[in-house]
Amino acid sequence: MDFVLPQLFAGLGIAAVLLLIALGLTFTFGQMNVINMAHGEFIMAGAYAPYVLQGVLGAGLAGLAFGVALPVAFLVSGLAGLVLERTLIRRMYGRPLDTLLVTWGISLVLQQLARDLFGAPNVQVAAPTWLQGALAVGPLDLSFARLAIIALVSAIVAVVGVYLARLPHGRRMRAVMQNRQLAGCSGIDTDRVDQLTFFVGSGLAGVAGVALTLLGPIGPSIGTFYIVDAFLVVIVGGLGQLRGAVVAALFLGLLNSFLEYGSNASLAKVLVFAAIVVFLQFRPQGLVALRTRALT
Amino acid sequence: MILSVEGLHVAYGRAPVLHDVSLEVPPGEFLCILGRNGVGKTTLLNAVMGVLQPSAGRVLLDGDDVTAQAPHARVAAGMAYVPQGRDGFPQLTVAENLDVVVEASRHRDRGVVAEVLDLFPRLVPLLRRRAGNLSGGQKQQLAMARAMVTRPRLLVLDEPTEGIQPSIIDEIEDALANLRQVGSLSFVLVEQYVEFALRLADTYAVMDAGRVVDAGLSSALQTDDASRLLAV
Repeated sequence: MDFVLPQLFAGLGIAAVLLLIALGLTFTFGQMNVINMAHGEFIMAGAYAPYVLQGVLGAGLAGLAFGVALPVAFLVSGLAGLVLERTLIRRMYGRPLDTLLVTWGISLVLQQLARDLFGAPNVQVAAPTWLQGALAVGPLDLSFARLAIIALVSAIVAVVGVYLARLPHGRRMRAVMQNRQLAGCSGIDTDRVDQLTFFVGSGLAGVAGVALTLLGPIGPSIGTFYIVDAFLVVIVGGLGQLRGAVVAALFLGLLNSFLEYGSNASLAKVLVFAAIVVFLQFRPQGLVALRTRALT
Repeated sequence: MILSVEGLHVAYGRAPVLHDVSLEVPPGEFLCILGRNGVGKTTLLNAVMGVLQPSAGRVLLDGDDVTAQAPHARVAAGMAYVPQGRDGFPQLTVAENLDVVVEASRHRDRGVVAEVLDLFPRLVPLLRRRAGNLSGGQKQQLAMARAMVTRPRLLVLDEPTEGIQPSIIDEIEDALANLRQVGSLSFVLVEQYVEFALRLADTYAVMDAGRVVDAGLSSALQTDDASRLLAV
């Protein structure tokens, strides 16, 4: 049973990153019915933020560069998302399949752009010294990097939760998600709400990208590696559902981690997909769904 | 005129639904629009609110052309809509359903919620319930309250009595009659329940096949005549 705790910890790390990526997707998909394949490239853009900043500030300030990269990545990816929404996606509301194709094209363009700017090979971002090493708990070594990711994501999820539940902007967002036409006819500027959702969702993908640099090398196609898993979290969790996304990310992260231990990476993926297919037979609307009394 | 609709044409794709519809509502007056199913009443209201864009014609609110404005801008200018179908924001509580509208309104005065709840006292014990779990009659009252918290000058209602039990219809009628007494609010009501509509309205318009085929003072229209006009 020695493998249980290490795999649990590794799974939590994966789950945290998946959740951060899925947050933006679940709200853009749930609120605007947009399938944004370019979301993965916002992760990539965020991941290059500490790389570029470390280049600018020099190796001596790697730790500082990493800290600055978090807000920078949020802004860069958020603005990229906003530009994408204003220029293209806005014209395709109500046509989710078109958004899928167009954003996939954008995703390929952005990947090539990254190759031209940074080169095709993966690059390693130096983790700040205070995130190197591990915390020894009994026989277990918990790496500071993974602990930091789990803490960061927990904090972000808490903030998003409070934002949605308590703050006027979050309430407005939920109203638009639940009944767009009525929201407009009640005086809510749905365009502005959409823009803000897209900005924040894309920005969180950028933060996820920064977190990923702690787990390994990053490259122009790092987004494609995570986007499918993030969509699985969205679908299993239920569209636009924070609680659903948290549970689904934990479930998929841990399942993946344990199955990988028992077999190998490819077989683990196959088994996870099979589990999801079976799950969706019983709950096609996901874990958490809009459940209301039927119209009377 | 608080509301003027001038020569409105609306089409779904190539299928025309409204032909040259013109209406006027003077300030403080109550207009009801009668007609059978499928004659374009809801389409007309959607065009008035900006949910649908007309292919020709204009909508004026208090003399200002709002034809190109989005629905939320029309609400800011003083219109409020109680649409058909009473879904509301199902996962928000009743209180949140009202708060979210107040927060997006121009006045942002939370005191308005208490004023509106005086009109719809049945909602008070339900404030913490999710809107999706209300009964049909409760949902309708919430829909009217949601419209009223914007402090509108013009209230647009689409069949508020549809599928509602008689005692609640009486309460809705009382609430509308009370609002009428205040005098600063004008109304456009689409209804199939002719007696209900004529008891409240100052003027009426009858629609058929996308046109206004008859209009006048409600007092001059006998219920029998109206029923004949609406006969299937």
